[in-house]
Amino acid sequence: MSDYTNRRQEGSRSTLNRRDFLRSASALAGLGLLAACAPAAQPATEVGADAPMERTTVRYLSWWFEEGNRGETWNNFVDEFNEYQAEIEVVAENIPFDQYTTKTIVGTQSGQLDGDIIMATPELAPRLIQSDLLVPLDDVLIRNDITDLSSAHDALRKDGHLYGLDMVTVAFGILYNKDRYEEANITPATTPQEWVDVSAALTDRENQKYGFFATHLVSEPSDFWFQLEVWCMPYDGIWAEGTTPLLTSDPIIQGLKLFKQMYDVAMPQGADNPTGYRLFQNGDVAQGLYVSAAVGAFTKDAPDVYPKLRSAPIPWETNKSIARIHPMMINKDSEVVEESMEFVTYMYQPDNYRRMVEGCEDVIFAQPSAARQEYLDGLEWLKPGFFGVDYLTPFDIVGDFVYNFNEFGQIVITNFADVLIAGKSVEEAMETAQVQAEDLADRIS
Amino acid sequence: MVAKREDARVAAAKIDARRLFNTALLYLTVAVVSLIIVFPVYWMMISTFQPSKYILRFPPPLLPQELYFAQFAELFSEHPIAKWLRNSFLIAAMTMLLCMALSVLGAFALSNLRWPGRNLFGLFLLVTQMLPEVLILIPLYILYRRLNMLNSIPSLALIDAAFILPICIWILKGVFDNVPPEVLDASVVDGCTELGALWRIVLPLSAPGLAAVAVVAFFFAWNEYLYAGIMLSSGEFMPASVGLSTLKAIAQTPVEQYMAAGLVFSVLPVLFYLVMQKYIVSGLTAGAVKG
Amino acid sequence: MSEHVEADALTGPPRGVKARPLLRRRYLLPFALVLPIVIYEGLLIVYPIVQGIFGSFTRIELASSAATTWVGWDNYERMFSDPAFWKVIRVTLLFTGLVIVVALTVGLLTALLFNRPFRFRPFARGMLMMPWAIPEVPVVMIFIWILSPQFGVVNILARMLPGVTKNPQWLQVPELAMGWMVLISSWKAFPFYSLVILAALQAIPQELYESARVDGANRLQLFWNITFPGIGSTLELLVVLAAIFSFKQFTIIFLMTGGGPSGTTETIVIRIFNTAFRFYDYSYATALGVAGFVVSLAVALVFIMMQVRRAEDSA
Repeated sequence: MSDYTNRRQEGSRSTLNRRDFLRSASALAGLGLLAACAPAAQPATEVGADAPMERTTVRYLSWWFEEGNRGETWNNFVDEFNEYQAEIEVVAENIPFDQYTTKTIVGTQSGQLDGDIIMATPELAPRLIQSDLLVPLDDVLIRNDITDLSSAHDALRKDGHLYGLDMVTVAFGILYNKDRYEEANITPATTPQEWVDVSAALTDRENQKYGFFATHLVSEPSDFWFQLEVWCMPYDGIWAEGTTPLLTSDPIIQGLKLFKQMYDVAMPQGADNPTGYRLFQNGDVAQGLYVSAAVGAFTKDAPDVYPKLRSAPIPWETNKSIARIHPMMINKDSEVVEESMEFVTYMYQPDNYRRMVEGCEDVIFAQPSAARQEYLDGLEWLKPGFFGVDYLTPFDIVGDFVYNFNEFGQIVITNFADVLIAGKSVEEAMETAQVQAEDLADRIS
Repeated sequence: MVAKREDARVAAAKIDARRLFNTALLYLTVAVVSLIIVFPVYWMMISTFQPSKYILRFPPPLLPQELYFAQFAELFSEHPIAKWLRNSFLIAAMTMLLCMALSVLGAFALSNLRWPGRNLFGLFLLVTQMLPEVLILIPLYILYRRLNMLNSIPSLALIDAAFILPICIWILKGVFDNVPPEVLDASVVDGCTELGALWRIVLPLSAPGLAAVAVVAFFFAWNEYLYAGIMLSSGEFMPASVGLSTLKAIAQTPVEQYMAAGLVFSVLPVLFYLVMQKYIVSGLTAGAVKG
Repeated sequence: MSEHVEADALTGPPRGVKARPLLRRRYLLPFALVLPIVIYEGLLIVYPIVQGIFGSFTRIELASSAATTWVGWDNYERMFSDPAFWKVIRVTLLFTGLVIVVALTVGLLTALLFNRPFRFRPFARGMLMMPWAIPEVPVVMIFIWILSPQFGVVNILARMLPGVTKNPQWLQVPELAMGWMVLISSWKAFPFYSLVILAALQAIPQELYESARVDGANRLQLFWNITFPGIGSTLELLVVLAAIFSFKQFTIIFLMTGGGPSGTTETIVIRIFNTAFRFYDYSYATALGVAGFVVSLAVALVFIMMQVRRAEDSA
């Protein structure tokens, strides 16, 4: 978190804080603790009462307010909005990504989502929409006169209404360190097999040089599955269709064999995600499957490496990759729906939206007409790996399991880990996985 | 027996040699055991106080090559560590005070008073310890939301205290058991009330027990992160245990800075333990040893 | 846990009632003292447990519009017929058993060691408790680092073994992963056990040893006939404590292996968390939780029986 954010939060919440503190002290004085603590969470209006003007507080929950330039961009927008008008005070509340889903789930179970404006992952969004927990956002499009909203939003519609607006689409591509390619005198691969060969040529295990890294530990299940889902692409397969898992289908078996080959010849085996990332920052890992939204973070974390980053063309014929959209949504139970709508509308004004995407250094525009050519041209790593690619969504590749994305993923990665570590064959492992996934399908349908 | 058959001088030398060998063995064992205990802590220090170029290498140097301190400044300026620590401290301190107060009542009733239902109460406390905390997360969350107690540090301290209180009562009961009943009876005969006896006789004799309770409760709340992560949604109230796991999730945190965070997070409990060490030992062990 | 107190309580009217005015006066006092505790624990622990048990008989899909429905024993039937459940139980028992054995053995040995006089002993004893004082999250951080296949310092030792030419993947090989979970959990827990055993050792009267030595007992005999019986009841208690603590161990396993590889370190607590919060299958998770609760209650009952028997023996 930047200093700036830090100060901002202190400032906006100090009243609540002190009151809470006094309350806690008095609570401890006696044993009437339960009673004393009950009203500790203040209704929003009371905070406003101390402020010079009566502003309505809107709580905006996300995991990214501390994420480098993305966090800075969003914090700036929240401030900008609060200055731009005098009735509404948007408060950014950061929830660590690990806990975000858990917390949202716990909230829905208790009958009420927390927060007024919330962000969602591609897997969480359909569940929330299905459960009727959200407010339709069609008005935002009308008020901003947006007609070219990306088709990825189809997944966010129910009964003709739109329930989420994409704030960042992350797309997978192959990112590499151009120095490492030049040293080894290598040109980007054009077929899956060439890709393995290239990665092997970049690897020198004795000297801690690796051609490729992807998360492959079951202790990091979300990251592992997040990256592994791409590997249905090289041979043009999908993981499931409707409620039918396709884990033993040829393209999946082939794709996983490719991963296994890569693991054998080019990866730092057993390295966790942070280690893999550090090795990439050092230049010790030459390439990886990175999502477009993560590239901007290098400007701050590894300014030395950033200028050397390039993307390789997708090395399979179909030129397909995965794009994951993260929508902004409004909680139906919020008492400040209208005010929340104001902020979402503000953010989706084409001009603001463009500044937001550029500030986060994202490259996929949910409003294609808002994209600015000069900006895209300035990103050296954009082409060809992240441009003109044919993107699919998680819906397209895991079918109805999108509602049970983690559990389905857990089945795949647990069994696939046996291939990586225990030397099981891909076919054998996926046969087991297929049976387990079919059980899951029976249970959830 | 040996001395009868052999030359006394040789025997003495043998005994000396054996004693020397035994002593050497003793010190060697102590050294090995200490090494196993201390090494991970040492390695945490090594990884904190060196620039990462020395750590991101295999084999890593076993001795520090260069000392480096800027990571602490970076840590504190890039993350709201101070606020996290303050929140952790508030949660842990409240939990500690609450546990100390309530465990005195419970332990006194359980140890020094005779009453029907005493065993039932003991059983009740034991049962509350038996469940995995994760099981009641959702019911508790629903309860808290209804009572409007989410997102508040004292409310979280209430949960932490509820989890650890039975153990605290049990520890303190062990200490209270050591107060001779005769002393208590005498004081009551002298016209002192039971509560007066608790205040004037039992408590002063049980300072180590209270210290042990304080440390156990404090550590528990300082450590807890499952509930802290769910019950406090605002970053404003985030304690260090949760904050630290967010640093873990942020892959780009430099190693030495990440390790520094772990070190900073450990300092307070370790200091607390060292200061209270003398009392904790007798306090913690009183109940267990007599049993 | 004093013996005569238990005996009093469990076998009828206490001996020497008359000598204890505390008993006769003000019967209300103990109830008044424990009432706040009972209400407090009742509200924050027992009430949610009851809710949880109730939940295990329903079908609740988290974050879904499906209404909660009463399904009777369905969740339990599914659980008992699920091979994964039995695997989780096996892993839980294995992990718990190994931690009890390792942590208590190391605790006992270090206590015996530190009970002997040597220089710097107070200092060494202070050090001994260090792992206990360090919070779990930093412990996890440091061990993940020590075990890293790329940079982990433990590989230096491993490479000295014959036949080891590359750094093992410590947390990815089932046996190694389980071994490390046990070792790390024990490393964190044994100082506490050691401390308690040490106190028990020091409570054994020295005269017993002296008279036995006069009778010509060797060291092993001294240990089996005096030391072991002397700390027996303490060990019994510690076994129960270690069982409860390791049974509930969450942080270390969750953050280090997440239950893997191939579920070989997935204990029931991890399973419950995953089922409820990653797979959204809340009602099944509560059924698992109830199963865990029953298992640990059984452990507690054994402990209570031991206490009662001990009380009867001594009465």
